[in-house]
Amino acid sequence: MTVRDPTPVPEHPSLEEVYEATPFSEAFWTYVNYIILNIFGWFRDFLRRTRIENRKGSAEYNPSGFVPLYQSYESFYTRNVYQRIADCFNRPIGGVPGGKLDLMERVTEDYNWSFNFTGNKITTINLGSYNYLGFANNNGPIADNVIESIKENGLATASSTQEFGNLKQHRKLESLVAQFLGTEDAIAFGMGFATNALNISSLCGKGCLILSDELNHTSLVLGARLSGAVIKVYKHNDMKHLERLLRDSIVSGQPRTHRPWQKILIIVEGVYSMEGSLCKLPELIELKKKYRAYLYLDEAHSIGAMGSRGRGVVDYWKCDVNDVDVLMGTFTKSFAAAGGYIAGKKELIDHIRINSHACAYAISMSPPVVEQIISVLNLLIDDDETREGRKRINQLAWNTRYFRQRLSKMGFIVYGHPHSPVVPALLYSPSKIAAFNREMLKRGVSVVTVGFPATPLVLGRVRFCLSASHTKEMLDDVLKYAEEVGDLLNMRQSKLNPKKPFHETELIAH
Amino acid sequence: MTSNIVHSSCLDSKMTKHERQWYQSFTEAIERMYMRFLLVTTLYVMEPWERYLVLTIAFLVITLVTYSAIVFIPFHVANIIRSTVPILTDVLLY
Repeated sequence: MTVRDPTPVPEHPSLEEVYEATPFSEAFWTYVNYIILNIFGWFRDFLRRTRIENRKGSAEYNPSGFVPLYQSYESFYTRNVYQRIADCFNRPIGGVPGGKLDLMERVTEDYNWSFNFTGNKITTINLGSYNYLGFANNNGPIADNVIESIKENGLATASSTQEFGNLKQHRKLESLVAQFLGTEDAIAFGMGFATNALNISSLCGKGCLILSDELNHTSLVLGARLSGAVIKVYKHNDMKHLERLLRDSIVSGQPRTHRPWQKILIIVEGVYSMEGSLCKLPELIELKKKYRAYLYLDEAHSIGAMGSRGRGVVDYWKCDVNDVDVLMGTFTKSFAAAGGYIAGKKELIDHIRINSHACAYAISMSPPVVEQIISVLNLLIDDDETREGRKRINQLAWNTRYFRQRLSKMGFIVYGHPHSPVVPALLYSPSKIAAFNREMLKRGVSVVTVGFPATPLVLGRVRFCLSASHTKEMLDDVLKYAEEVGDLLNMRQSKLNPKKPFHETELIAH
Repeated sequence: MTSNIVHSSCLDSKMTKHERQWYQSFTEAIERMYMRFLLVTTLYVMEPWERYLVLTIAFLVITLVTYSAIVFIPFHVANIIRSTVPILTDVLLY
């Protein structure tokens, strides 16, 4: 564990979320880029179809009378846009993804259709893993606990939770999670995606209304669709639109019969991973109480990472935990394990224990993973400032404040809330997405760059995920490289924070 | 590929003598402009033969436009002047 840097960093001048408007030139050239890629896509597809060029990807014969397997534009996009820059995505790693990451070096002879390993490993500073509290290690006291638990309890329970899969360890984990969050009870599942997808249907059904945010994760969307309730989508973090939707729905009732809704569930996330924004929890709780709806809060990225005690967005906004009806989270991000949990009142958790698909059919969490989470929770529940858990939470908060302020002062267009550890900086065009990724890799930093379809068409971005295992020196190196690459790519075009060189953006503590 | 040159030459120039600086910044500027050109026209993600194809087509179009400009514009300009100036002098005198 690194020593915490003693110099205090000043707080942000304002805690508002600012989304700067897209510069016109960037939007224009991004559309031009997509048009050029489309034209070349048609040209190359023509060459492949007439066999002037070898066809390397998979293609289907499309026999008549059968439904085609691939959607045509999606596979066109994959062949002609994604495949050209495929060396930037899905890179195999050669070690534990902590603060530093070893990447397997690969070369391609036929322009990203196939890769060969050279056998070398590149050591890079890792800004792509969701390792918020830095617990991703393969040695240390937690790893020793995990190895002990493999010797005692084996590697798998080989049974679903309602049959033989509920061990003493699982009960201990659930009570620790409930103690950590301050709720009455909790239940844990083996997979975070499945926690959302399979449990919303045990809470809502036909005759219910689900109001979900525009930018919710796929697992929430899938779970909502699976439940069979009526779904209405409101604009991201727009409380006025949500209130309007609530009022209209309550007044008009169910679609054809106009009967009152059985239940109204508002689904939000704590931290949205593509934007870096926070949900507005106080206003949501006020709305929920006024219109007697229920609130489902997905804290996948915020548990452990937000809040002065690490208890998530509820702790960050200083709200009462009993006001949020269903608290959901995952153990994948801050706890360096796998799985998800749902926490709330005891009646709710008892109902889920009996009625959830995941409890009846899915295999329960594997014992070494449970032990990892128990060890991490024991560290985090401890409120002592000098102990490991608190030190990591404070280090992450310091890293977030430092990195975000310096990055936006240098002229990058950065989205999101000033306190969120997910930092998206905008790149806009697909060729810059590839260029930023490759240039940073040459300088020894591995980042995640995303474009369409995970983001809107024009808003390609690079997403830095900060961690408590990053030291100030690592962050300074990353900022210097980002400045160089930003100049090469003409990224630093913010009008709100005109661009400044790195040494002028020193943060002075008052 | 191009920025590799920029990065390694950045490191070299800090270590070697000051005399290299006068054309160093010039080559850096050229490299930077080339990189921006590649990014804006999406040639950065294309294979080399596609780059040559696009550059050839662009070069041909520019040559065509320049040739027709050189051949046709002087004649048309002279024609316009010849046909309007006598009329203008007539109008101004009367």
